[in-house]
Amino acid sequence: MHLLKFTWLIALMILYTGALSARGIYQTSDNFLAGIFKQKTPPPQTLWLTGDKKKTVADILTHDYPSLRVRYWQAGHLSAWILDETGKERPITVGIVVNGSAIETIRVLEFRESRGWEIRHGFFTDQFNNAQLTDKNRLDIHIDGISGATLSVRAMQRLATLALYLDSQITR
Amino acid sequence: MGVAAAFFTLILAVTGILLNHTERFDFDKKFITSRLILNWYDISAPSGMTTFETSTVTITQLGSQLYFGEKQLPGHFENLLGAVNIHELTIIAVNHGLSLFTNEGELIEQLRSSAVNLPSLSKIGSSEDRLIISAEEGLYISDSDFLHINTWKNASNPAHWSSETQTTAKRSRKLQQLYRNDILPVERILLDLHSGRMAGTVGVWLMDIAAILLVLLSLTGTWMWLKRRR
Repeated sequence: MHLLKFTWLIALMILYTGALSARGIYQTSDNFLAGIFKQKTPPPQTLWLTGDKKKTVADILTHDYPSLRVRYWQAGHLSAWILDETGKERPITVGIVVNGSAIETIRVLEFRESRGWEIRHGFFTDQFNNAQLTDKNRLDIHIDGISGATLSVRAMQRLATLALYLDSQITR
Repeated sequence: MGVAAAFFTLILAVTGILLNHTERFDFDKKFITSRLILNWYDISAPSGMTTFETSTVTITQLGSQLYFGEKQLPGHFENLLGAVNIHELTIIAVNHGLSLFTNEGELIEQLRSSAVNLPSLSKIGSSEDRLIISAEEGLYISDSDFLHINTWKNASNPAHWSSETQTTAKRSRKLQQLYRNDILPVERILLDLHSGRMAGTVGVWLMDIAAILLVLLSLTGTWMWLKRRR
């Protein structure tokens, strides 16, 4: 009986430490941008969310965007976005690169939630590659979920859609 | 016995119906502001406050909440480090970064420390209408759009650092009440009325007794009705 309790305790400790270690900064924004723009990161620009943009963004996120402007980096057909969205309780910071209206890269930069960290893995993020925006502001591909990480998966889907929409709104 | 049962039945039925429609009526998003009920629940606000004043607005931290004037800003914040007003914008510094607001308290942009490479941000100020940031790594200056932050080398014009001010007793009382007004959802009250927990353990027992009385009333009522029919 004692052995059983001890085994449960160890299992819980391992799970808890796993969740704790999954929180944190996986990649800094600078590193992410440097990797995308090959060490020549362009100066940041901002897109103001006013009028129809604000409304469409709220439709995509299912809530208002928390700020009035969004920062982005652009060089040629590439645009990079660093966006936050809450899965369950805490914001997840995600870096997204759009190349010619399609997602080229999506990376979890900082994860603060206690569950759902599996979304940082390549097997999940690679599904977004080449995703584009439909006329109804939805992703044109199906994204397979991860059991136990539903809210984080949805947050990533919303952010990917948002980045594609924002990219369509910038002047080139 | 019937009157007592009717009283508890009414409470159970009315709270039950309302609980069934929590989402429709947003009972989980509406909060109780009655001081009497908040005191009953022993809900209090933290006593320690940190306040910074700009030329246009007073910013106060109470617990993990920030108040822009009397407007509570969404989200949770760590240590408030300073606030300045530049170009009709208010810049607030907290441990985890900088936030830019309009003078009406609308968030323009939030810059996390990690995003602007200022992990050890300690205070902010202004010099010639530019934001000056003090971090462990040195002094930094922002451009007029708050898009670029560069090392501040020309320190010939001293910065006016934002410094903490005393929170007035009136503001302190007002914010503590505002803080308390955002804690207890109506749904909690309905649940506690429904279960009797509003009156502690005694309330739960009373509700149990009322439920048993209702069962007895139903059984004896049915029995009497059947007996009369025969």
